[in-house]
Amino acid sequence: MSVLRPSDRETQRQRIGALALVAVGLLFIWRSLADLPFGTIDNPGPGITPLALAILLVVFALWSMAGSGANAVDSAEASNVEEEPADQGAARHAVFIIAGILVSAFAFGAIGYRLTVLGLLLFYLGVVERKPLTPTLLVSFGIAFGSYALFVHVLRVSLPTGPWGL
Amino acid sequence: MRLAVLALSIAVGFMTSAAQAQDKFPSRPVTILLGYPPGGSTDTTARAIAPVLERIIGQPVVIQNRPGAAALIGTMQVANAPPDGYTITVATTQLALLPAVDQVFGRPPSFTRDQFAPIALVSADPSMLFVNAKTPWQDFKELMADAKKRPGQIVYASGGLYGTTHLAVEIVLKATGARMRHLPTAGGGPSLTAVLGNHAQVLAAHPAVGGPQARAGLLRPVATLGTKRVAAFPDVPTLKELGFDAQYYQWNGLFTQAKVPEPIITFWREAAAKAVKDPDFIKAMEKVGSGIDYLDRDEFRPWWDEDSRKTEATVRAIGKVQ
Amino acid sequence: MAETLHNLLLGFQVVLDPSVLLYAFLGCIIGTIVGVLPGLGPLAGISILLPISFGLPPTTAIVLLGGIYYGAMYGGSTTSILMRIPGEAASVVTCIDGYEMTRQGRAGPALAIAAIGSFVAGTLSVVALMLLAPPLARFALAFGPPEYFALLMMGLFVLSYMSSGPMPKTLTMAVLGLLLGMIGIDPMSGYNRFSFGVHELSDGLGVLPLAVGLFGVSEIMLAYGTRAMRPMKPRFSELLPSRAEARASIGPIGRGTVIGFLIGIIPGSAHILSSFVSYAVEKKLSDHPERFGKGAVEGVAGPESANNAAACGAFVPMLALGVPLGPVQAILIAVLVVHGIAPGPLLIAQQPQLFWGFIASMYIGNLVLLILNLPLVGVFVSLLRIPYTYLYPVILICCIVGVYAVNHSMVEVLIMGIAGAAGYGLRKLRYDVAPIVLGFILAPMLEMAFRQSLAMSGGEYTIFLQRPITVALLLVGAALLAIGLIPAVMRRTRLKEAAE
Repeated sequence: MSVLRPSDRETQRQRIGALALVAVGLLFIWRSLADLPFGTIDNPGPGITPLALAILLVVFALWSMAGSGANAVDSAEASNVEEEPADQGAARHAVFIIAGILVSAFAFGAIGYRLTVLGLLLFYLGVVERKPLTPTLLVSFGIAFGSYALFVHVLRVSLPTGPWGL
Repeated sequence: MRLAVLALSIAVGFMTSAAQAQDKFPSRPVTILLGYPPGGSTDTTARAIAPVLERIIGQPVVIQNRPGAAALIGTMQVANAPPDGYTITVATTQLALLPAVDQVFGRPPSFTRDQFAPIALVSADPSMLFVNAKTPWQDFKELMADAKKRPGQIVYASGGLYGTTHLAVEIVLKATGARMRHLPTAGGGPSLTAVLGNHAQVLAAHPAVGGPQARAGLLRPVATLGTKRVAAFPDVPTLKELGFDAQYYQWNGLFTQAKVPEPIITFWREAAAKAVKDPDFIKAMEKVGSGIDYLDRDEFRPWWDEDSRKTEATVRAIGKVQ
Repeated sequence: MAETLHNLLLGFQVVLDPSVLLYAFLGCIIGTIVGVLPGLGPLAGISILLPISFGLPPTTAIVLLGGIYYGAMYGGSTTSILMRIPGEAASVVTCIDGYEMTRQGRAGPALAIAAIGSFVAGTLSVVALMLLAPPLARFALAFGPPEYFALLMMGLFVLSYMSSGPMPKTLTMAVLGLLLGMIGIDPMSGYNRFSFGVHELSDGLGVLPLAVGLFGVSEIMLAYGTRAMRPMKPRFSELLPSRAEARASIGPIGRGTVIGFLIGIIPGSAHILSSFVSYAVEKKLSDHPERFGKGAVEGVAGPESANNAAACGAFVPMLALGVPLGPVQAILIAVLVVHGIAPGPLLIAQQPQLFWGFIASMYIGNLVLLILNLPLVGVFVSLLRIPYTYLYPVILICCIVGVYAVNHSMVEVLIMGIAGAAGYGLRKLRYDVAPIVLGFILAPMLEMAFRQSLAMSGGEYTIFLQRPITVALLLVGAALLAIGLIPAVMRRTRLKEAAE
């Protein structure tokens, strides 16, 4: 920790994170005040608990931010340390993961389970990981149709089918 | 080019399948879409009638549970399903209840009652009023006398705010002019537990739910909220006999969308009329401790309108509790 | 005693009937599959197979669904340990140390300890269930909202033991979880809180999408960059726990069983807390609490045992009184009702073959699961040999499908995605996400029990001081809080002294 630069950047990241949590707290404070009654002391309303918790969240987030400069090193030692990414592609990869989940949420209803899963696997294996064609196709088709068979025929879960009956 | 051919063939496939669908109803499997989770009374009714309907209409009948938000999610899905008669539902007071609750909170309604067309009433069991057996009240009169002596002191449990067990007690209280404290719980099971543990003393419940506890001497039935006594409890009087005009039924009816063409609704009415007389269905309903109270669409509609008016009025009377 | 043995004999006669036995096995196997699939838990498994069971005789149906239930409880820990994906809410805790053990190449011992702990806890709990069901059920009924509130307050103190991170960050995460738990319809007033017009949010965010997102998805995102998940080559000699690990696990398994069973019989959804409480207890009792979160075997043995004991304890009020504690028991009761059996206090007397058959099937089921799961340890561990670039897309798909299949809800998949992104960000900033989940589970229950108590008393706060169980629990809670705080205060003064 003799180099100043990275620890500065670390402090700044910690600040941004804490401020994001403060923003979440403020959002809940705003909605509690706007939408929910607080009731009385002998009949507490639906707004009072969330309001109290949201205020606490703001307070604690600010406290973590104040403390983050001092115990950035401390916390690195104490909590389960995440290794720093070795690869610049890591952030891009993280975006792909989230994008896949969000897309699949909409795709299930629109094009059915099997095509969605097939598309996702082809994308991750073929495009993101650049796996050779044969294993990509084998794994993608195998999982898409195999898992459908498991869920639908063995476990009897109904899964959505798309316009082509797939 | 190849893509265009593919798209064309798909489009043609669509059209042919749509054309086939118009041939004769029903030409493909039918769905009973439910707003309630497996195991509840709507679900058990649907599961009792599905195999019988399957035999009558000659197509598979698939049950799908889409619970969530007090049956709102599934009920909205039924309301918004294509009005082709292939999606029917077993529903109950939620059709009137949920829009009324929306109204109380000043929200635009998520669906309205006139999006649904009744097919038939299948069952209507009166709620019964139970008290914990450790309480001193031997009958309904003693309970109400005490409730009037100590207004707002006796606690009743319900399975949830604006739910059937809540409305039933509120209707009784309105008719008698008594006041009690309300303990909402997270469902039918928890409300029963609360009264068994004497954390609340009064509960309105289906005879099949409270019955076993009453026979074991843990609960005491004090009144029936129907027009006639329940066969399993011949000694328990109806509120009518006691001089109060208060009825509450836990009922289940078959519905589809209001926009479904009349011939298809007639098809379903005929199927329902046959199903309720089927010995398999009668046996299945007997097992779950529910009677069959069949009403065809024409008698069911006024009955449903009346029940809905009562539900809406009670929800409005309860209003916001906070 | 003689009568119990006689009845048990009857039970075994029922279960050893080949068709019943077949369904007991089938239930265990299906339960294990359902449990092992990430995101699918016991409730999903039972709901899914419910329709099939309606066609079976009642005892067979209950034995089948019971098998699925505890099979899924056994299997639920597998993905927690191997991939940090909780199969159900109770195995969230197992993710913490179980997955750390996997990273250290000790996946085999972790899985084996989880299976053995589950077996011991399951079997001991069945014995307790068999001998004590009626009196225990009466005790459970004494738990009304005020008692429940006091119990959950203890759960809140447990939060303070959960994390070893710095205090402000742990508190922030706990409060964030509590706050997220407020989303949805308020059961006491009917107000729809913070749902922003999305109907699917009326029932809250859902613990499964939240936990799978925070733990599982964030792990997939983080593991990539670190190349931490290089294919491992576990040796088969390392599949079984070492002697030291086995010795360290005995105490946690025993304590976990007692804690889990006691929490399990209490009405409400508190059984989810059993594994959290067990984890906190083991961490508190340990000579090396700093090892927790870094692959401590006690952190797997205790919670996994507590989890299974609680699953068994939850059957006590169902069988002895006919009242469901949670959604799983509600479904099992519905199965009985559909078969024309009235579940109630007279069930044991009127349907001895059902009750004792079920008890006997649980003995057999536990044994089957142990025999099934121990060899599977090797199979599961060899999954880790698959290159991670092939493995992660499949894990991701499993998460999506598992979350989707429970309610067919696209919103829940979106919640999982957002929770994954949030978990990724928070973990990058070295926030510990475990307190979020515990806070999320606690908040709605705690708030409701508090307001229910006031609804019962008409707003009198004295209700918390008039009921003996409530007072006792609050006192124990206060003592726990004090014990929890003392070391922190001591450390601070010592630091100050050192600084001066």
